[in-house]
Amino acid sequence: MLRPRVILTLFWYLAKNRTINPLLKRRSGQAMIVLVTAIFIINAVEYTQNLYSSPSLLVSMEPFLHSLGLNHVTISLIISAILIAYTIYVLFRGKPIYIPEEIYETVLSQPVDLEEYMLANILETISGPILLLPAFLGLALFGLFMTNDPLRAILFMFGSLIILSAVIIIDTLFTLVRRKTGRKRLFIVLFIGILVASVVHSLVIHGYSPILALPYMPIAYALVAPLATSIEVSQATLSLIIGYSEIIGLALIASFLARRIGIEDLSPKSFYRGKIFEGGKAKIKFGSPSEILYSYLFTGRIFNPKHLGGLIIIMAVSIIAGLAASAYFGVASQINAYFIEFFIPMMTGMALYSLSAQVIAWDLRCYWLYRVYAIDMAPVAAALISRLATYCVGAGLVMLAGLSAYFHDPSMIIITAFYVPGGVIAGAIQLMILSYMASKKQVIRETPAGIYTVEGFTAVMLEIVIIIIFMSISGLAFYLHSISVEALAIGAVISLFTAYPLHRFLRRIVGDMMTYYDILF
Amino acid sequence: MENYVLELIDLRKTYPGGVKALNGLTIRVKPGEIYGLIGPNGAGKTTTLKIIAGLLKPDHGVVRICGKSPVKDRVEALKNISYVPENPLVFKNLTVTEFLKFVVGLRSMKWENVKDHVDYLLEGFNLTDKKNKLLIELSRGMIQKVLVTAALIVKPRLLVMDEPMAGMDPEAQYFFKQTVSDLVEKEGVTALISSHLLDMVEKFCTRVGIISKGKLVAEGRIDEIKKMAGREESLEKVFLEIVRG
Ligand SMILES: Nc1ncnc2c1ncn2[C@@H]1O[C@H](COP(=O)(O)OP(=O)(O)O)[C@@H](O)[C@H]1O
Ligand SMILES: [Mg+2]
Repeated sequence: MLRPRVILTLFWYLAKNRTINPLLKRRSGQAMIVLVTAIFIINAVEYTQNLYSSPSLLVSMEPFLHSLGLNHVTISLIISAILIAYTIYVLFRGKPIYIPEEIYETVLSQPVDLEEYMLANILETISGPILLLPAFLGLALFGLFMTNDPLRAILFMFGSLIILSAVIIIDTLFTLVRRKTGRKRLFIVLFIGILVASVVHSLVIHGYSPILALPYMPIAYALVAPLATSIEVSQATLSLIIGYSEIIGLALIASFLARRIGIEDLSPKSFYRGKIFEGGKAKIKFGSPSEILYSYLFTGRIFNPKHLGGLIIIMAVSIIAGLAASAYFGVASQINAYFIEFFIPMMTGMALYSLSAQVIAWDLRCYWLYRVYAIDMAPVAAALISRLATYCVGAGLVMLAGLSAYFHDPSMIIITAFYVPGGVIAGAIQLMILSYMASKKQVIRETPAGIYTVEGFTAVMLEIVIIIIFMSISGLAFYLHSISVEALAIGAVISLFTAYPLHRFLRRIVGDMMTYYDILF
Repeated sequence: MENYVLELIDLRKTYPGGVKALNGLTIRVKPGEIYGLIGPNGAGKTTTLKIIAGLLKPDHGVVRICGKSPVKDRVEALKNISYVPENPLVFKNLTVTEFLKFVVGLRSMKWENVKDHVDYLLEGFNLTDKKNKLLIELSRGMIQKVLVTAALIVKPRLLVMDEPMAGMDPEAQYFFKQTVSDLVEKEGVTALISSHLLDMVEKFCTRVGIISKGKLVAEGRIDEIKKMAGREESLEKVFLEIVRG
């Protein structure tokens, strides 16, 4: 016997806690809304005053995308394929359904049916992104940047939110399928079958197989359609509605399966308790505290066989992918400036963004310990800057390896050197903002969507800053590359030599900031 | 059988890691009691209370809250209890009032009917000026008080509280004991309270059970337990003796 009132009460307060209050009641949330709205309006006004005389970024990128065999349909197919792969991953993972610990203890001990909780949760998850609309105007901004069209930009924003909802609902649904139906093998076979068949078919027809569209095309298309200039706005709107219908359909199936859920299927997720120094083996070392901290936080963490092995594998994959792409589509005769200047920094920024959450989680978690034992925070800052910079350089290296394979131009690898000072600057900025944030609110806990909303926005803002840094650096590097390899090499050497003084200078500043601000737990 | 508010019979629970947390625990609580479950850290108190609150399923044994099983008849069983968890974790982005309204809403009660009681309790816990603050802005002890308030305002048949006084200042502890005693005397509430602190139990609980390694090793009124040890000593000494065997 489900009680709609209980479900609605649950839904309302879950949503309030996760999205509504952080935006409306917390100053950082309010500031975010004002800022993003202002930026969007300014840009929209500029647009209506016809200041966008040049073609949109997307239009300029089109020839290049086409040379890769990409258009709105094929991109939708690729996104659909990624969702299929994600489904398979969820089916194999088969973890319990995680609930944030605070919800687990305070809600599940109430006279609430587990099914009622699941329904409220599903409702909250798929509507959560919509409640966040004002904040996601940032996505609309990106859409505007790509299309020069506010209407499409808004549609794109909804489209992006649909992907967020899709990932969450796929996660919930197939975790339930795996745990609560006797048919998990059937589903695994089905999805792997779709994936294998589509890959084989794609290879045979030398293109993207329509089989890829099978389960998730409506969702993928809803994301892509608003950006495709060849599709009417009205049609893009329709595809959005169809996409959301699929989400609701999946949610209904999940709700149905939620009937059979038991308390043992749910598991509280606590992020911050548990072992402080996880993963590291205890080794006795002698040295100054700063040396030990540096090796614990940087060298010991990064330069281990597992990471290096991983890097080699990813680079190999990247190079093979680059070679395969050039064999398939032919070597592009000319480097597309937009691609280089926009795409690489984007990807590097993305990589840093996703890592920033982990840095917050794993390093700042035992921050109090450093504060107690390390009087000077500069070594901690130094190690963390080095680490973030290494991530940047690693991400750049992988990207550049693939690109140089694609263009048959090994000299491109040299560009990696430019990412060393870039990574130092980006890492330092990131740490400054993070330590400031951590002093303003309690340390981030994980939620099903990753991190809490406000932290999420701050991370997005951070990413924008980092992307700008990387765009300028990549721009410079590729400009030198277009002059001559010698010019590039000289630039690279200069970059490497500036990196060290830069690091010394910035770690002092960041260290002082970390000493100055308190971290809240 | 209906004479008991709570019956736990031969509970066993082994955690996935292989830790045997409960090893044949039997407890029966009668209406109007304030039952103190005491034992050293790791004895199995929290595990027991989580099983009662429907957060864990026992591997073996029977749980009945007013005759209903939280495993088979979850909603009906949990309607009779309110639970205060050991770790004060709550929704960070709800205000104190919102959180209390949430709890009241989940029990299909009317806010107007409990509002006076809420005001009284918040006043007693010194939280009146924090009413509209987000929970993230409160200290650990304050959150503990909010959770206790949430448990008390619904006036359940059985209060289940896991070390509720752990983070409270003496003033709040006094108010807490007073309020729980009042509810028990006047509103027909029964309480099960766990603690590793003995002195708080001594003048407050009407009956205590001592748990060690997942088993009840002694049970009775405080004077009875003291007599069991054969001396009129402080409960603390008796406790240490019993637990050490
Ligand atoms: N989630 C868990 N996983 C594994 N072991 C646990 C877990 N929770 C508690 N335990 C173990 O079960 C035993 C009883 O714990 P608990 O009930 O929390 O004791 P108490 O509340 O009396 O201190 C302890 O040995 C503890 O380490
Ligand atoms: Mg405990």
